[in-house]
This record gives sequence, C-alpha cells and structure tokens, in this order.
Amino acid sequence: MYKVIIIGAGAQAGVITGVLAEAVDVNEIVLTDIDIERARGIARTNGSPKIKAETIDASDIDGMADRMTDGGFDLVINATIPMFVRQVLQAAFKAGINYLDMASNEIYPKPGVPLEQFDYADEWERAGLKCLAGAGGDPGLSNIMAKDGVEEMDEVDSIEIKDYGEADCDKPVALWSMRTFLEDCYLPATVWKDGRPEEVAPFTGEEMYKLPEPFQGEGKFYYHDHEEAATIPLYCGKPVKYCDFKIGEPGIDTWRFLIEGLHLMDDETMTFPGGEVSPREMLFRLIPDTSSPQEQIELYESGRLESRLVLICDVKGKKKGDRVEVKLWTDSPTGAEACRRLPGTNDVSWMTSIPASVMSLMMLRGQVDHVGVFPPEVFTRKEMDMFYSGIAEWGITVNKQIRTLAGKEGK
Amino acid sequence: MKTVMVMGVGAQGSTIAKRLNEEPKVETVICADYDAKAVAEMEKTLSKAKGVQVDARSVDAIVEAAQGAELIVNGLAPDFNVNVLEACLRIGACYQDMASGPVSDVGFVDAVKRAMSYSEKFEAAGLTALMNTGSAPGLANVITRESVDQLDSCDAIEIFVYDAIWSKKFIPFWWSPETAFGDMAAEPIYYRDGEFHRAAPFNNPQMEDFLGLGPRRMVDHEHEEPVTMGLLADTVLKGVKYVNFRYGGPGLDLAESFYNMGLLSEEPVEVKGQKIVPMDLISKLTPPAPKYPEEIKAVLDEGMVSEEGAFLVRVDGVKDGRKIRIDSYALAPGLTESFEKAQITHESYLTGQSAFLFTKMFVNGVIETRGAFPPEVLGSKERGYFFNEAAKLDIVVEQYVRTRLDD
Repeated sequence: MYKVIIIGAGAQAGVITGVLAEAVDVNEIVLTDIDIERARGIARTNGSPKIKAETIDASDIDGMADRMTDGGFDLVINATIPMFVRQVLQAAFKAGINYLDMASNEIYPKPGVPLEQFDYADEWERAGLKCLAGAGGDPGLSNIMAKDGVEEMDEVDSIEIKDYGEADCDKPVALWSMRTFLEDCYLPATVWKDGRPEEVAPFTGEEMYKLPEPFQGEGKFYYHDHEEAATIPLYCGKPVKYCDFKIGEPGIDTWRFLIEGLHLMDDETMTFPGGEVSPREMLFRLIPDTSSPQEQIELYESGRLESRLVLICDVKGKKKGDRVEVKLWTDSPTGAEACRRLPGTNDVSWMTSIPASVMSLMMLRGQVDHVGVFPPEVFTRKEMDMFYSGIAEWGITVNKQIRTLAGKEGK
Repeated sequence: MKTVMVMGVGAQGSTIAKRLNEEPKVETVICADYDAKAVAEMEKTLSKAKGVQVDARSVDAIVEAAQGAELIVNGLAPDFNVNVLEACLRIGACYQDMASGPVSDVGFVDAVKRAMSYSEKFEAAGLTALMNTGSAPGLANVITRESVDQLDSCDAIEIFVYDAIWSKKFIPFWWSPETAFGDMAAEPIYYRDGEFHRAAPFNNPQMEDFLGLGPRRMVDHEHEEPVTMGLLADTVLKGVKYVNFRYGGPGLDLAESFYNMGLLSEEPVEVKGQKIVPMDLISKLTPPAPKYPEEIKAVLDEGMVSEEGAFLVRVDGVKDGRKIRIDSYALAPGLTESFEKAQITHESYLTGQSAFLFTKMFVNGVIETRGAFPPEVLGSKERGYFFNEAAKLDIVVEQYVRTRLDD
C-alpha cells in the first residue's frame, strides 16, 4: 500500500486526489497547502477517507522535508505553482523520496540545463532517486505524443506542439491560474532550431491551424513560454532539427493586445488620483482567481460554463527515404463531463492531472524504469503503452495519423 | 450663408471647417475652441478662418464669439449641446450637432428629449436645429426614413455597424478611446412597443450575415437612433414597434473582454492599499487614434490586418398587405482609400463628410423644415440632395428589397 503527499491544493490536486483515492493500492493521501481551507475543500468535495488535509509552506524546504520524512511517503507530488519547484524538489531529495511535478519555472536557467529540475540531476542519479519532471498534460502527455511520432521515423525534421482551449461563460472565470498564463504570455518563448535552444519574442510565430473535430474551423496560435522545446530534442532519442510549442484560444488576441498593445504587464509605476500602481499590479488585482471546485460544479451544472481543449503534436521527418508526417491529437472530456466524473474539476485540470495521476501511479508501482531527473519522453514503448492505457481509463485518448509521401525526400 | 461658426475643432469639427473653407458661398468660418493651439492651427491653415478661444460652459461667451454667424456647427461633447442651442436662439442662428448623449446631468433618453424640446422655439424663430448629424447617427437616420417611406407600416428598424479596420500597429479605436470604451460599457437602449428599455452591456450576441462579408458577431450598443426613432415612431416612422442599434468588430470584442475583467470600471478598486479607478489606467495606456496625416501614414506603412466593415440599416414592415424587408448598405472608403482621397481616416471620412453634407445643406439653403429634430425628420427633397452629394464623395447606398410573393 502506498502513501503520497501532495504539495499544493489547487485545481490539479482536485483531480489527482480523486484518481489516487480510487486506486486500491493507495491508502493515504496527505493533501497540503499554505491555506488549509483549500485542502479541506478538496477533501470535502471528494469525500474519500484516504485524504487528509494539512498546512504546509512550500517555501520552507526543511519544514517540508521533515514532514515528508515523518510520513514515510512513497512519492511527493508537486502540484503547487512552478515558482516552488526548486524548494519542493530539494525537500523531497532531503527526505529521500521519489518526486513528480507538472511544470517548471525556469527554461534554460543556465546553458546545458533545460529546466531547473535538471540542475539537481547528478545528485538524484547518485542517490538512485527518481525525479519525473513535467509530467502533466503539456508538458507531459505532449512529450509522450512527440516521442510516439519520433519513433515512426529515422530522421526528425520538426516537432510542433499545440494547445488549444475554448471556454464560454457569462462571467469571467479562470479554469487554471490566469496569473501563470499571463506571465507565460509575457515571457520570451523557447524554440529549438538547428541543434540549440533559441529565444523568440512573445506573440510571434502567428499561425492559423485547422483544428481537429469537435472543434470547428481554424484556431490562431502563437509561440508560448513552455517546457517541451527545451527537453524533447534532448531526450526523445533522436536528433531534432526544430521544435516549438504554441498556444491558441479564441481570445488569444485579447491577451496579445492587453500585453503588447496596452502594456498591462509592465512593472513601471504610474500615478493616478488615488495613488501609484503599476499596470501589472492593477491587472493582477482584477483578473479572477482560479475558480473553486464548488463554483465549477455550479457553473457546469447550470450550463453557464462550457469548455474543452485539445493537444496536438505534428512530427515530420523521413523514414527509409520517404517523407513522413505524423499527427497526434487528443480526445478528452469536456469541462462539464470532467466535472460530472470528478466533481469540482474541469477540462484543463483533467488534461493536466489525469496524466500526472497515471504517471504517479506508475512511479508508485515501480513501473517507471529510470533513475535521476528525467522528462516523460524518456519512456520506453512499454511505459508509453502503459501510460496510454491508464489515461484511456479516464477518458483521454490519443489519435494518430501517419502520412507518408513516397519519394518526396527532403522536400 | 456667409458666416458659419464651428464650435469645437477636434477631429470632426476641423474636418467640417476645412470643407466649409472650400464652399463658395461661405465667406467666414469662425473656428472656436477652448484649446488656443487648435484655434491657431485652424487660423493658420484655412484662408476663411477666424479663430476665437471660447469657454463653452458660458452661453454668453458663445454668443459673443458667434456674432454674425447664421449657423453654429457644434463639434463639442454632448454636455455642451444645451448651451450652444441657447446661444443659437439668442443670435438667431441655425444649429447642428453630431451626438445627443451621453451627458452628465440626465439620462440618455432625457438628454435627447431635452434637445428635441427646443423644437417649438426654433420653429417660432424660423430656425432649424438639426441634431445627430454624422454617419451613425446621421446618415443612418436618413437611410432609415428613406426605407420607411416605402412602407405602409413599419414593424422594426435595426441598424448594424461592423468595424474591422484593424492595423498591425495597435489602434483599438479610430476615435477617442476613452469615449469608445465608455460607450461600449454603457447599457444599450432599445425601443419596443412604445417604451425604452435598458439591456446589459454587450447584450444579445448574435452572428449577422452581411452581404459580401459573411457572418459577424454583433451585440446591442448604446446609441442615439433607438431613442430619436422611438420618440418619432408614430409621427414620422409609421408606428415602428422595435428599434435597436447593434455594433461589432475586434475593438468591441476587446472592450468586452476588458469589461468582463473589470478594466473598464469607473468604481475604484483597492490595490496596495490605494483606491484606483481601473478606467483611469486603461485611458492612460490606450494609444490615441491617429489624427495627423503623418501618423495615419505610419500606421498604413506598418500594414493592415483587415480593412472590412459593414453599415446596414434594416427596416421590416408591410406594403400593400405584404411583409417586406429593406436592407440598405452604406458603402464608403476604408482607411487606405480615405487616406488616399483626403489624408484622413475612414472614421473621419464617413462621419466627418456625412456631417459636412448636412452643413452643406444649411449653407445652400436646402433645409426647409423648421424646428429641432434629427435627420429622419428631413423631407424627401432634402434627403435626395443628401444622397446625391454623398455619392460625389463615394458614399453610396445600395438597397435590397425582399418580399415573399406568396404572402
């Protein structure tokens, strides 16, 4: 029987606790947050006696390490905001417990280190511990989809990953941390070009892309600050000439105008009749908090909120001289369907946290045969198939289309 | 008319003053504004201009500056309409404005009623006060009356304005952004069965299939037309039951997002222990609409994302016992063409030129109707003159009449 500690009781923790609570071989889930009411809210909504809510400060490495050691946990799941990756990871290392997270805060913090987790790679490997970095939907599932495409070819020209979501509601609602999203929008993105990472400006790489059903028509995408292009070319097993990540949604240009046109993410203080604030401070004051489980239940049940998303991965290259194009895309529950299955969840937390939950269970059950710090694209075929089966049980399936252009070498 | 005063020489007022300067019958254009620099600019560039600095909060000041004027074109914000109307009555001049609201002291409907209540005084003085004379309102009202006159009875009037002139350089609106954001966040008014109703901002989003353009998202929008047309429903517009104004475009979509986030709120919010009005921040950060030729050229040089728009007046009613729908599309130059023609934006072109056509009607004695009223009151002959002159400026109206033969 396994014991798990989850750091951070936000949207992702709602799904992960739900999945783990249903696993017969998990008997204790300690759900922690700086605000214990958030943890209690999830525990209450879920109702499983396996879930225990506790207070923890994710900035306190020693405090977390002590609690992790005392609890005798088998896995630390970091579900808090990415700015605490280093702290939670170091606490898990001090406690000698395997670790999994879903995002990073630093892309190429130094040359040769794609994400901050990899700063600790040597010590984790020496200790024989496992740190699975970026094991959510994107990054996570997206990396495995890319690996799947890569396996279909001898040479890889490009890997292009896209995330597209739609949410329609009669009031402002945030299905995930809008602050994190805006910060990602504001930062330069990383693309992989000719064997090295390259920074590109926010809201560049504009692309109209035909969306798979049930979405209709085309969606607009831009480069986005994300982990995939940093790790996939290094860990997918074959040299990659080009890799990028783009994000799209119907209102993507609103965010572009807000950031690029009005400079609402700028830090410089401005003077107003009521005092002095920066545009960013005012914006962060006004954007909605991530909606609570109870609010999501009410919005979905009343039909006021509808949402869905898709991850797409296009891998292009050559196999035996022929040009090969592999397109992979997800089918997953809508927000309302996710919320019916696990009350208080949505399509975004589902897409992020079902893969994280399945990879957590694989880590707990000793089904991930890697040591040190590693991303999901190191998975073997067997691990990938096990992962696909796991997420399919929760309604996430991956479609795959292979197009071969015989004799079109190099075109 | 030999002497015309333009009170307020901003974007629209200055366009009208320039066009008046070219009118053979006009000898003097009194260019009045609170901004001495704007006045000096007019005096410097227009041969017939006589510049005068005026504080429009004082009726006496307007009267003193307007001595000898036979028409005052009011290019100021609607808050000053009453003062200029009063000044016109005192000096015996006709009056023209471009908007009725919103104003700060009374509601939108009451502001329109107050302006129209001057009708008897103007009629008694043998004068005309023509209000709401731009494109919408203005051109839209003339088109509406032209359509309604083809019917025996009128059921509904809907005015649609879709604006997707979108440049690579971030220009959310081609007129004052502060005014635009304020208008967008206002509660729209529509007229139904003899009463005015308020709706929530951005009410009733629906796709409207515009000819040659396709479906575009439109929402209810606060504007003068439903108010003046509702007030004139039985006397001028054949008993119309429903009047609405609908607006759409990327600027509106952007404003809706900002509104939903609370960024257009006039209510202070607490940030770091200080009370800040979100709209103050947005007003400071939003780039102004390009006004001068070199600014417009710079925008065009950087490139356009889209240059599409639609201006549709839809009138439903009955003629000879059959239901009939009349769709009238006003076609006008876009940004690139407006700049090539007149070194101004499409917004200034359509609104400013339309407003000037009404001024030209005054100058040339075409307006015979007396009183205070909006353009839908103008007679057939007056409207005919307007359409003919508009066509000379490449502002043309295409009309599509649809009926079912089995009705």
